[in-house]
Amino acid sequence: MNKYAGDWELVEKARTGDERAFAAIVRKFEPMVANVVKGMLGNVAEADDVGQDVFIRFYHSLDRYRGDAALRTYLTRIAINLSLNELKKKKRVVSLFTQKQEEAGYSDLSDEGRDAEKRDTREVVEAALRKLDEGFRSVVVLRLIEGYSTKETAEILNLPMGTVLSRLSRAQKQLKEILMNEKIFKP
Amino acid sequence: MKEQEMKRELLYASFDRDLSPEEKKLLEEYLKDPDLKAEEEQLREMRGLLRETSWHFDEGFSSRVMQRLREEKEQTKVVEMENTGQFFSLFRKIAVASIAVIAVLLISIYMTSGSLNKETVLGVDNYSEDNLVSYLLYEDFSE
Repeated sequence: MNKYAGDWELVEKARTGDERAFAAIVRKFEPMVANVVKGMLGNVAEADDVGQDVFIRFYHSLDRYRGDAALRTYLTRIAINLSLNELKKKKRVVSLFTQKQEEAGYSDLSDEGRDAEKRDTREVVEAALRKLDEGFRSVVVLRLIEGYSTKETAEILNLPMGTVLSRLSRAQKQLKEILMNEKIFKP
Repeated sequence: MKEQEMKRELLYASFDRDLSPEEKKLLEEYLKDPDLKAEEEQLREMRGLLRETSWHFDEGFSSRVMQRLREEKEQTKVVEMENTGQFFSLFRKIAVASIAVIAVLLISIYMTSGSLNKETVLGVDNYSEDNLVSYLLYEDFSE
């Protein structure tokens, strides 16, 4: 039996107006959407709204969803596009936010005298991610956090495989550099 | 330097695509270099950290989505009702205006002709059928 058959069944039910079926879709894919949206935007207040928008957008396109792509991939595509739109829209605000965090010593990764070992490694990884250019961040989120294959990542982002591979390589080099500065890795 | 970079590129690529048998052999050779071996370990560790990274929305996320959908549906209903209401209100105004125009016309016909029979309303009360036929047939020729 197709492993996505259950998803398709839920979609079919949601199309007929079954609210419980749609709620089940939301619950099932909420963690994935949270990873994509928060991976892209950071743990900011807007992320919740963008996450909701992903499902609302999907609800309105229920009739257009033909099942060509797995529901997870379809929702990921919506999530990444809405996140990139949000980043464009809020670029200035987001940069101010990051600046404020840095001023507060939250993500100033090179701040001398801070004991990196005491800090949550996850927090460091999150802050390092935010330092990446959004093009690099999107491949890292999809490939390394969400675990999509390189081919799937290329399809979702509508990029050639070569571009994804080169972005992954450059992003990882940058991340490694940041983590070394943070003393998570030894140089 | 360039060679070292090439070795690193192959190492990074090995994590994200299938290497050809020749490339695999080459990478094995390259990994005898302790620096590159250390980089491989770091890369593995970093990818492990990223894999473990996850976020979640605040509690009640799915309820908030469903609530928003319900509100949207309600909003749509209200807009539809408003549109329907506007349509009926406009229709009523047009209907009242039309009735008023027809009434004025009928009154004026009645006042000028003293009757409201079909011929009067059509304006052919002064013509007999024969006159009307010859009028329609010959009027243009006589001019």
